[in-house]
Amino acid sequence: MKKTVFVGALAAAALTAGAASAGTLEDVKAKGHVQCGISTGVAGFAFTNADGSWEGFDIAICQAVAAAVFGDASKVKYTTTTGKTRFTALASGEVDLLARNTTWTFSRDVDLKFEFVGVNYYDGQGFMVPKALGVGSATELDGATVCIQTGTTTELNLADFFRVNGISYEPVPVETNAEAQQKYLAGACDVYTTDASGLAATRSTFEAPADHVLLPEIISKEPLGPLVRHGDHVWGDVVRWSLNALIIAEEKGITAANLAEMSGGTNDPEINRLLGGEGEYGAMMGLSKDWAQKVIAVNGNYGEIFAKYIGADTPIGLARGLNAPWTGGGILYAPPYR
Amino acid sequence: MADATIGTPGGPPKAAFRFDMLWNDSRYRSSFLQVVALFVVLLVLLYLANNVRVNLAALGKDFSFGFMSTPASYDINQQPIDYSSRDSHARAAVLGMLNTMLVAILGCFLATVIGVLAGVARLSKNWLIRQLMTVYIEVVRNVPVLIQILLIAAVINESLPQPKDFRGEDAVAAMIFSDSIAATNRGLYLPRPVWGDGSLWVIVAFILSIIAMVSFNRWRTNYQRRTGLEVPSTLDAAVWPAAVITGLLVAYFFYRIGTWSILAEWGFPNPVIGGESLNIDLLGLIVAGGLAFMLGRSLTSSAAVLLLILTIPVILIHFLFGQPVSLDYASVTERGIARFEGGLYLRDSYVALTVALSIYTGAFIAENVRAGIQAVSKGQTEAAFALGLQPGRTMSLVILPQALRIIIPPLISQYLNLTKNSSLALLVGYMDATGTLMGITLNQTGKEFETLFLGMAFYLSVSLSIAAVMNLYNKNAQLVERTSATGIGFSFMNFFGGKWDNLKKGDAKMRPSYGIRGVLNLYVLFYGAILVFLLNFIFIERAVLDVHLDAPPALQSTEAIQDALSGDLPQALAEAYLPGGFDRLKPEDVQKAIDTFTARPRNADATVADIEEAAIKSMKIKMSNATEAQLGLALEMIKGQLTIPGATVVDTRGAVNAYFEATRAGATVADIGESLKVYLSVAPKGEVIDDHVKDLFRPALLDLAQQSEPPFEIRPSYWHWTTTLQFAALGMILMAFAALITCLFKNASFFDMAAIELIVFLLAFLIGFPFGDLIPGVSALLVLGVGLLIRIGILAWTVVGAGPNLTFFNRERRA
Repeated sequence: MKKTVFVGALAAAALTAGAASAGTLEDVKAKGHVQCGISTGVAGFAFTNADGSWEGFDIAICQAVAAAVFGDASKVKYTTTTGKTRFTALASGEVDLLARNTTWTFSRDVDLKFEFVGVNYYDGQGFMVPKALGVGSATELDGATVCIQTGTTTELNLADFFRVNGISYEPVPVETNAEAQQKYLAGACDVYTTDASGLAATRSTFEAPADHVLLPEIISKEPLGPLVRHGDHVWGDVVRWSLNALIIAEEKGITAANLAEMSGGTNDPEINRLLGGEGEYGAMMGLSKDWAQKVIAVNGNYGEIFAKYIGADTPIGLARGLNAPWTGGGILYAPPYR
Repeated sequence: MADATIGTPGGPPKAAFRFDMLWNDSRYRSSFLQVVALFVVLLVLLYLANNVRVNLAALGKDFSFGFMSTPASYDINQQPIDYSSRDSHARAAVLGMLNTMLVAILGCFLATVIGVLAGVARLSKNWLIRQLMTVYIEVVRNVPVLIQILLIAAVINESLPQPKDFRGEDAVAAMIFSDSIAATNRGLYLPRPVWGDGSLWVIVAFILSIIAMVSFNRWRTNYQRRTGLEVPSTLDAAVWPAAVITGLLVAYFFYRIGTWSILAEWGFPNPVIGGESLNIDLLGLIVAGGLAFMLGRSLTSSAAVLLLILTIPVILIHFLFGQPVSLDYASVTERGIARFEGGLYLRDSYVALTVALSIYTGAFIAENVRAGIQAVSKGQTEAAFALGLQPGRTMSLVILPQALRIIIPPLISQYLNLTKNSSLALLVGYMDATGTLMGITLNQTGKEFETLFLGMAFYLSVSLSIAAVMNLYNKNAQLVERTSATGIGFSFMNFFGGKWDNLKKGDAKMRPSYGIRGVLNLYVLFYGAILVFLLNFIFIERAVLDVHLDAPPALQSTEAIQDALSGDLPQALAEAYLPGGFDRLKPEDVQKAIDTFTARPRNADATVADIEEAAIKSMKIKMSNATEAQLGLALEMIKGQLTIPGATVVDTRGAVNAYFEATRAGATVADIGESLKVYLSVAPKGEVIDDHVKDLFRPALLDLAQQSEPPFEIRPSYWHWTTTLQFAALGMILMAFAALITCLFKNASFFDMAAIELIVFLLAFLIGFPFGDLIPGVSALLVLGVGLLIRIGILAWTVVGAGPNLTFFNRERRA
């Protein structure tokens, strides 16, 4: 009997190991939609709108990929994942790509066998504390209770930061942003730490955002970007260039408003190449000629998406900072489309 | 064919074997079917194993446990054993497992208490109590446990005051019981006992008292069987002193926690008699002490004796040794971020999880208890009443012992449920095995298969252990159905004089043995100790030097190194690098190091030329030890690096490393010191140099470690042992555990388990298990010799001695 239990457990584990398949682009075309892994909800980045459908800065990536493949941004289905479950979901083939504030690191790229196709937001880990705590710097956090999302790079950064600075702290691991928010507001932890963008997004949902401050320290590099499974380069290229198309569009001044006009042909050959007026670039990836038009038509270019969901005019109010195009003082830089 | 049918004198004719007989002939059919079934099962297993292999390969993953000894890099809040983020994943996993056990053990205990109380109360004659319990059970049982855990966690987090509320003059919250307990939204802070010098004797006295109590109880049962009297009337004299002690203890307790002052704080008026305000504390002490004294007077004489045995020696020893045991109270910090320091900290997550699981499982246990009690026929109660037994005694002497037989089996599965449900821990931020090993470790390493495999093995072994212990207890509580001796199959006992029979409880030949002379109690201690040492050696003791050398917390900046150089370097070095600290390093080795490291102020203006000169100078000092070729090579390398104008620290580091490489062959601590000095003399101020220092120190310390045997050795972690050694260790743990459990329950198979344990022990010795490391500071020979002697002694005593009585399964040699 006991042996049976063990064998059964083993069998279950073996079956769930699942099989990875190549040819995701064909699979996606066959099933008629893109299965996109997203977060459980971060204001501005991934949230459900009044109609109950998903929207946001990260969601825009999913929509862009769907538009590139099908020419229709609505052909995408979402799977919410937590920091803990996201990699298993991607590795097992449950989702076709992950577009949820995931930091590009060596071990995830190499050891976990994923492929980060680019960076859609350059972030860094920060700390948020209530003003009443009277702390002006992260180095004054000795003995603080820190809420932290488990299964993230922030967990490791935090351990390193406090160890290097010789500060003691009490970690409180939580699963989702919503849980962290609840604990933080209840005073069960003094500090909430995650990516600075996430902190700003979370703070914007508070009743009294002004009562909370972000500490000046940014303790890590957190390049966030979409990722796919290792080994399927065709699919990787589709996702990579969907993102790059958005970035190039901003650089070249292609907006949702002037898209129709631009696709009629311009003086700039790169714009023509991107929008399908010149060359057979779409076909090389197994997509239609005007795929990039469809991508840009969804939410506009990168800058427009940024402004719409998380920009300075939104409640989240993030400045472009590092995420401005390289021509505008940032480090957003897409390879040339040729 | 004809000859065959004629028949032989030996028996009926044998028909030739035909294949269809496999399924037509009942003689072969069952065996054949079993073989076929076995094949099918094997094929399925093979398919599964292959499936795993293929799919892992398709994902580009290998199956290995090497990641377990890499640094975990994350922090864990609740640490039953020391842990830092530089410790290995294996240690983090062990920590998680211990945290799981903490929840499981306290949870099972609380759930049993709640369940028994609620189950009995549900059968109460009092309508209100009965209905209240029905509501509790029906509500709790039918709400998912997850929601209950989250609910309790939310209640703690949202409704209890934050630590900052306890601070300052105008604190809005206060600790209860005269500042001894703080209930905050971060959890509970309780007083923690501090074991000062001499507290060992208090503990020894306590243990001896417990043993004496057990002995007294057994003696009393025996006495009652012989005489029909509970205790000799002479023992009645114990009631008076027991009552006095109770009164004093209760008074002292109320004095310590100052409950009565709290009453005054809450606005109870001070009693005023004849215009004089009375001291409410004093009054309280007198009232409480007096009441307790009155209660003590009503104790039965045997209870009084037990109370005296328990309290007097402990109290006497405690005061005789100058009160070594004291309490450490938590208090809120006055500066910095408000938090509590000191005391015993029960995290909100731990409290929420344990309480929720206890309440939830308690509801199920209550139903089991009710079922068990109701299953005992009403005639039993009536018969007991007819004999003149009071309701309380009827319950404890007649009903419960019978009910227990029905209660225990479902109780086992409730314990298992609770243990498994504890894996919901991460939802409230409690770091159990699911949170560490199967959560963060899985996530950071991507080793789903390995971590889940280990996690499953852990839960499986915990569950099966609980089930094994409870099943043995169940066996103990069940009715004895046959009283005749039965022969047993194979046993090592058979080697000692023919066949042996099992005696059972109730057998005429059975001689129950009571009292401490049941040597088995000592056996329990012995095998328990073996188990503890083995587990500690394999999983808990920080032996993985590799991991530790990566993390020199004390030497992380140039400032820290300067401090170390000018201050107590041996201490700093030891703390930074050596598991177990300074004690494990030979003083003369360290002295050698400190002699070499003379503090020298760094020169912020050093030029490349200075660096080169320093490097060459230090090389010359070393020239006696290094070969010409090594020196030449080193010089080439240094020059190659330093001819670049404006060389930076990185270059310097390269130079020093190159120098060090050159002299590595015969490198001593002194060489390292030279290297460090060269480096320090030129490094720009404030530069963090931990990596460099690590590079420099690591080989030297490894070197040192190898020279200074035996007190200090490098030991690979369990995951890096050879498979044989791993199996040897597992075998020893398993057999020590088996022997422990069987002698704990005085099971017949104890002799066999102990014998196999001895064999595994010898085998482990033969394949070279490092017994010398098992108990720190005791040589391998001693561990082996004494271990062997005790084991053989135990076996011999079980066979020939009259003392150890394997009670209910006692064995009798067949005449």
